[in-house]
Amino acid sequence: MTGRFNAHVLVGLALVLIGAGLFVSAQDIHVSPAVVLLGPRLFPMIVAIALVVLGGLTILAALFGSREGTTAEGEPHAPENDWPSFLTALSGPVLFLITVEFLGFAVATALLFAAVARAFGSRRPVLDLGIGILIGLIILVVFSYGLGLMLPMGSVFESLLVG
Amino acid sequence: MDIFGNLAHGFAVALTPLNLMWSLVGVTLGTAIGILPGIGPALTIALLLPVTYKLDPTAAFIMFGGLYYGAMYGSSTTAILINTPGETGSLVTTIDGNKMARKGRGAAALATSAIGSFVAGLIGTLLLAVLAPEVVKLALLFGPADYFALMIVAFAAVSALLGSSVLRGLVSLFIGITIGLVGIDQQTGQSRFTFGILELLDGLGVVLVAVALFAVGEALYLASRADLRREEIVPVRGRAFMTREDWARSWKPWLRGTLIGFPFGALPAGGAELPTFLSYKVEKSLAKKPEEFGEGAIEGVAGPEAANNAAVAGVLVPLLTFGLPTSSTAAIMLAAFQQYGLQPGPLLFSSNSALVWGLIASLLIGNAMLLVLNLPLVGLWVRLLYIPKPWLYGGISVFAMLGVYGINRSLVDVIALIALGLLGCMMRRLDYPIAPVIVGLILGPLSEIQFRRAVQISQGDLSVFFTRPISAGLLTIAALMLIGAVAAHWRRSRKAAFA
Repeated sequence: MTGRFNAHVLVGLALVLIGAGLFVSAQDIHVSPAVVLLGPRLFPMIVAIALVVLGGLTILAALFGSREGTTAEGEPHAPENDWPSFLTALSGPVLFLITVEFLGFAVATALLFAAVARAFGSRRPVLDLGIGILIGLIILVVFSYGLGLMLPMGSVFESLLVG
Repeated sequence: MDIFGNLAHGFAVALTPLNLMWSLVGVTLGTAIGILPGIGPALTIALLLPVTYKLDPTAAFIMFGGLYYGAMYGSSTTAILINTPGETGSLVTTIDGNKMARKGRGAAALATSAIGSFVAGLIGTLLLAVLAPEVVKLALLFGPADYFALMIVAFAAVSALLGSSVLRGLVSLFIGITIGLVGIDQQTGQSRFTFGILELLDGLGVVLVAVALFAVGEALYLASRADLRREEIVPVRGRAFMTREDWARSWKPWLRGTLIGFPFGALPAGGAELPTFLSYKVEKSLAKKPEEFGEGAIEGVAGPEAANNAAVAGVLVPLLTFGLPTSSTAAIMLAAFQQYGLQPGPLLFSSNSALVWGLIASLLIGNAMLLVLNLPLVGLWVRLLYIPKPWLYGGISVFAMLGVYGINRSLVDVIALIALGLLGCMMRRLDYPIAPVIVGLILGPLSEIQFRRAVQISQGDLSVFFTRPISAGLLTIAALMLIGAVAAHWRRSRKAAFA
């Protein structure tokens, strides 16, 4: 339980910090002199104060509150963490981000698909990559010929399309 | 025009071949995504938004409406056969539905939920048709101050009723409102919290946030939890249909579930989850053999499955008449209205009556299609459950990425997708509800506009919110809801402490 307990204190602290940051940066919002009543600053400031208050309450609840409601409903067993799979899944969109502009959409899609599939227990990376490439190419065809939207083309697989 | 005239008008719109096709597309897709865990109606409509941009709005909403209904039908199949709800609205169905399947009564469980969904969808949609014009008359009386107060009620309801505590609901809500602040102030054109990044001027779009939280966040969360990834499909066995006793035990729960579900959807009370829990409790307390509950009581499937479909019909009442979303799917549908430059509310009923009544009529048609899709054809759908999970989530991730990156081809969007996906994963792990984020994101900017309008009309007098009777009444309701929820939570935790 202590792990969750600490995490909630951190959530509270983060909310207080974000609220404070919001409040400070709300002062930088330019208000034109023509605005007489309630410019663009007021609402963000209210939200900022609310965040600070909620953050404070979250910290108090984590430190002094009851533990009830700390686990999701219908979840009697303790969570079983799997951080390697989490990182593998996270690597999917990150790889897409890094590769899409110079390896092309199809390759980036294949990497995304294969990484997430691996995180969910697949142990056939070559097959996954192949399926991913196929999905990527199909999407490219639909987007560029069907919808007229251009996605980044790579040099290897996309040339097959142009033929 | 009377109700029959309106509906006749609606059927004339909905029965055109093209609109029938969109309805069929919607209900079919809805059933599929309802069955597939990890992808729900909110995410699907968000992904479809950019694609439907050029579509006629009536056709688009006919598809979205069918999709929302269909998701509620499909999700019970997953709940019954693999003990995981396809959508949150079928969480309770897992308790007795899966037990029934394990005892070889899967076919009866699937039948009672499909027919219950049909009954609830039919009654709910008719109630929508009858009530909406009346609510519109009420909505016409609303000024900006009243609209603002109504949104506060929605905020209070969403935070008080979803999730495990009011505090967490409020935190989720304000995360959404904070995200909604980014971009250009709609009244003065000032940019806010864009940090000099050009792409942020348009704000973090609802598609981006919904896809990040529901698709990426969910995939990361499931990847991080080995215990949630194991599942076992129970093959459908037993007679293809319900016995006489099943019918006798089902029809009352269907009707009660409908009566519980519809008002909970219609009042700004946060979607389809809560009424299903309530319906389950009611059925258990009324049952002749309450000891069967948890061991495969058919009432425990029939009631909640009717309730979640009726709730979806109910959700459409405030969405269409006030422009007030009470679930994350409704919030995305509101974004769809905005995309078409339409403002749901009383004026929609006069300016776009073909859309409104076409949608309502198409829901009646779609509901009948869904009964066929989910009763005789359920065997086909069950095969979807055999899609290997790695490929299912890999595919969901690809479509999520396409939905975000394919529109603007902006890497900033991809970075935001990853960051918000991590936020969603963290919220799921720490048990913060996601739906209030979406509602806050959509309603936050709208509530700011109404607030400023109201104060500008009253020339700076803030007491306007307390002197107008509608606004004062609504604010009182909001306060009571929050206080009531806090008090209930406090009482429960005291009981737990002394037990």
